[in-house]
Amino acid sequence: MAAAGPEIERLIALLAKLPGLGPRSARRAALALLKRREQLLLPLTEAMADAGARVRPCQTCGALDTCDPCAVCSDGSRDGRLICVVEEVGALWALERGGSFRGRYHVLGGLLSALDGVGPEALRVEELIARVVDTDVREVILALPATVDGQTTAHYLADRLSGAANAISVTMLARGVPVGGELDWLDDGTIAQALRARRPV
Amino acid sequence: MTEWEDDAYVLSARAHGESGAIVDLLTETHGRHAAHVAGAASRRMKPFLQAGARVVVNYRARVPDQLGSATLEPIGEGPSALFDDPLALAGLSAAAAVTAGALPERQPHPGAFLAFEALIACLPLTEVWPAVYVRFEAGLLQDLGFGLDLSRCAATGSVDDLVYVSPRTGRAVSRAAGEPYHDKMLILPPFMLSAQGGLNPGDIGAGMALTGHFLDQFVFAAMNRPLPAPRERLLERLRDAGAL
Repeated sequence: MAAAGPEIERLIALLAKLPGLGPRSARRAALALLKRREQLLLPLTEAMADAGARVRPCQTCGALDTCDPCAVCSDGSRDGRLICVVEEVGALWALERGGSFRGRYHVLGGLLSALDGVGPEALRVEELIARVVDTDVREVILALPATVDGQTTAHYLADRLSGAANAISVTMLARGVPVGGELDWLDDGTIAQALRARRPV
Repeated sequence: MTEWEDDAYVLSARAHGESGAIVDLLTETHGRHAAHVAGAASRRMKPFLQAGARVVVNYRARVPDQLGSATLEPIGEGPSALFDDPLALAGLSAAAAVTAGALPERQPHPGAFLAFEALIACLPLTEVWPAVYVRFEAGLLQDLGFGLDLSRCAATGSVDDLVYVSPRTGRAVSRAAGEPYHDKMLILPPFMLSAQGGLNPGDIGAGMALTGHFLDQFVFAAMNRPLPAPRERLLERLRDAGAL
């Protein structure tokens, strides 16, 4: 028997679909929301409705924002000759969090995956090629995961980009020891990659 | 309670829930086997939950028919050694996809494991691995009971000048016996007869066409499935690299 009415049960069921929340934690979150109606529930409802109505993918880069072009694409202080290709919006946010990249982005929307049947046509590859050909892009940074699918996608994009525009350089992120990483905690693959990518001090 | 430990290669890993994964493994003595791996999304486990990673599996299931859970311990560098070689990455993806698609689950296929192991060991050797890949697929066919008979000519019994394979029987045919049917025969590249056979231009293409024909006819068509897409992509890559 349900402990609460259908509205509350529906709220719990929807919250339970969110990442990081299972049925129990969704129940706790729902209770917290309902207990703090004015401070939490109503502002959250409003924010979600607002986001639902206004957030759209940017037609240029594929990022999510309330304006199109997005804030990054329309920021004149950014270097439009640099494009960083990322798998999903989460990776873009991670790069922006660091604040170390001042170019623009291109969200691919996934990776080529043999197992999941994802081919190039399912990704925003043609949009990337068009951007590179139509604008004054000098370098494309492929910031894709260091996985078999990620690197397969990176090589595919490198081939396509070099075929589409000769003057651009296509680069990848370095692989190796993370900041704060201790060697005895690293996997063999990362250590081997770091050794191969060693540089003079 | 079923419990065993085995050497294995990861063929694929699919996210299951937020932190787990269903991992498809090619084990040495238990064949192709799936298992649930808890904590697969962790930073420690992610690097080796990819096709081609060598692991030691500790598998445990309450009931034999049930999907059990496993803990994996990585051995060696894994597929990251190939990240800078697009052709080898395509070879690895194709091998994993063909193995996962062709082998039935939970039946021992030690030959397939050894063939996969040999291929993985050769993938960093650019000049060598495409021929090993063809032999790997031939080994897979053999392990599945559809082995090619390349010992003598199916028509004359001769062991010399074997240059064709019958597309219907998978048996070798000598030049003299096969010449009238040249257009219908599959070409048998010399490297498939002997490791000392040498590698001539066109041999890899002929080998891929040969194993592809029988994989398609005997294995994948029987399951109403086409040859895996990564194998097609490998062919494209080999063609672009002028290696066919």
